[in-house]
Amino acid sequence: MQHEHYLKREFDALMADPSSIRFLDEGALDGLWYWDLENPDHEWMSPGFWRTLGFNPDDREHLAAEWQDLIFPEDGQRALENFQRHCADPNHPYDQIVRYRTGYGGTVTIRCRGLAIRRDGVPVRMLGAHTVIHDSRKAEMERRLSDLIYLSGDAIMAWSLTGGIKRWNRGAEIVYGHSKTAAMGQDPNRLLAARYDDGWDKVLAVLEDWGEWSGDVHRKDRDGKDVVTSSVLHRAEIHADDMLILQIDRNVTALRHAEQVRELLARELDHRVKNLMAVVTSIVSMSAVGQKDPTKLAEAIKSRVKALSAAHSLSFEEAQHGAVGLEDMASAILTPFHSDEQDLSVSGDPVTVPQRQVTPLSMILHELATNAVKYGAWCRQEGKVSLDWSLVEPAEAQQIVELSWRETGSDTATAGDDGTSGFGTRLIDMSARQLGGTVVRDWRAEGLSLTLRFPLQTLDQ
Amino acid sequence: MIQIEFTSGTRRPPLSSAIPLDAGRRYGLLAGRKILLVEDEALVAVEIELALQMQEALVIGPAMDVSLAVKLASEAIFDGAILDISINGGDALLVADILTRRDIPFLFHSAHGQRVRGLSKYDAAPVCSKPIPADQLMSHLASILQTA
Repeated sequence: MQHEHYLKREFDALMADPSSIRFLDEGALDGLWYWDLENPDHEWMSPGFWRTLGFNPDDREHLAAEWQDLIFPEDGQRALENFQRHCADPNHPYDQIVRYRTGYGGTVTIRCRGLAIRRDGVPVRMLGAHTVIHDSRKAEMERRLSDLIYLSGDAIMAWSLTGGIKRWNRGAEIVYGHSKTAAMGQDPNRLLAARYDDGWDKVLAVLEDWGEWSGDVHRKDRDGKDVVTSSVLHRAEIHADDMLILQIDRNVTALRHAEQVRELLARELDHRVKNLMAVVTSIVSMSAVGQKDPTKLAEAIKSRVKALSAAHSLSFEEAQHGAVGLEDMASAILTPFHSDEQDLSVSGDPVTVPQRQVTPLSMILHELATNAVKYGAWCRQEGKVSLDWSLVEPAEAQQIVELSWRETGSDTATAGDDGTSGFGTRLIDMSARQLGGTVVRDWRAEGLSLTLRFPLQTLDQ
Repeated sequence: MIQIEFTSGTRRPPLSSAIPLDAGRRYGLLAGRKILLVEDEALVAVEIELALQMQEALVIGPAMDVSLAVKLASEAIFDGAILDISINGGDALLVADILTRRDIPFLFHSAHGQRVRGLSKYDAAPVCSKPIPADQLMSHLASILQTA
């Protein structure tokens, strides 16, 4: 008699242990069953058996009818024929592929094998095992995943260092403008003129060492337009000196651009605010010169700051570069100074004052108004001011504004000589220079006539 | 057209006209010094001009655009300068280069503060962020003129 291998003996003993069955059920096979052929309604099915078919094992009874309801009828018929032949002849294998309807509504294809256990040559029990051949759920998932990859708006590609592009999804066609046919086989870095901040060699080294690299990449699309992507490169395989790379690029061109614009705007605003602060600081210290009366000093400061803020609050309301209509600006600044509608007439061509010219122009208008109240037309009952402007040579690229301030009805036309008017005059002259323009004053019998000429800055200057 | 403008400023303001805010300020820190002022905001220019005059300095400028600033920086004779960095027509770093070449001390006075790129190469020039009180600006200027 042939000696049985000691490990075989141990194996048989091990099989008597319930944990072995659990291992077979969960680790090696997709379900076990044990059928009472003398009492064929009864059949024990392992937990793994039901889980594979998509059911909770606790909900199922140990009855053959449980699976017989789920098997495809034609497959069940074939299995029954095999079963009968196997019972009659142990050499005929009980082994077939069958399909079950599953608990989640799909289909699972299973290789079902079994062995009849005979007593005195008569089959009394049968032991069987399930192995999954094909799970429709997995196949469905895979199909959907590849649909997702195809439909994704992100550019997804697979390529190798030596063989170029092997996969190129619809997103890649949209983001880069190259058709799949045109892209196949090409080196994507060359095709898209890729620019990595640290250089491609660095990226390649990271892929070799860590398997994955991510970051922003600058590329050009088919039309030569810049495309910025947030990219992930994943090393799929290394083979000899070749590497297969899976790459996903999200187009962030618009996002990065918006971020830049926002940063620029924030800086511009910061700069404008600090400049205005500097201007206000200057107003405070300048207004103090020669002014001994604190009440008057406070008034002078308040009046100038109000004019400035009136002009600039208009400029912040305008969406376009903080530009302001000249007429709105003039009335915002001059309204507080005259009591009567009749005292002031304002008219002129539509002129938009760019943000950079708002401060000096508002300062000029304010100083003129202050002067008129103190010494000029507005310190007399019948005094009037007319403010007119026109665009000179409007066909030229550089538009010139000619603005005239004419006071009438004041019989004492003087510059004022209490020491503060010197500052007003200086401020008007300097503001005119800031505008890139010139001022001409004419002291006539009926009052001051001042002409200011300055070029309008273009909005993006 | 470029105009070179000198504002005489040797007149010390009479103390009687000074309001209490001015009490304790020092005058004459920059007596007899010629200072180039590059500043395109008229009000700020007028204020600094006055502050310089209070310190008995002679003001050259103010230059309110790059071309005048460059012309004055290259041709005028002066002891120090106050530079606004971003002015009409571009940035005043061109002017800073000229002053560095001529070995004339200067300071930056800017709303951009330290954020302007390329300031580090003018390591002798302090950066005064707007807004800064004019008398502090004068002290900074006086101290770089002393060490120069």
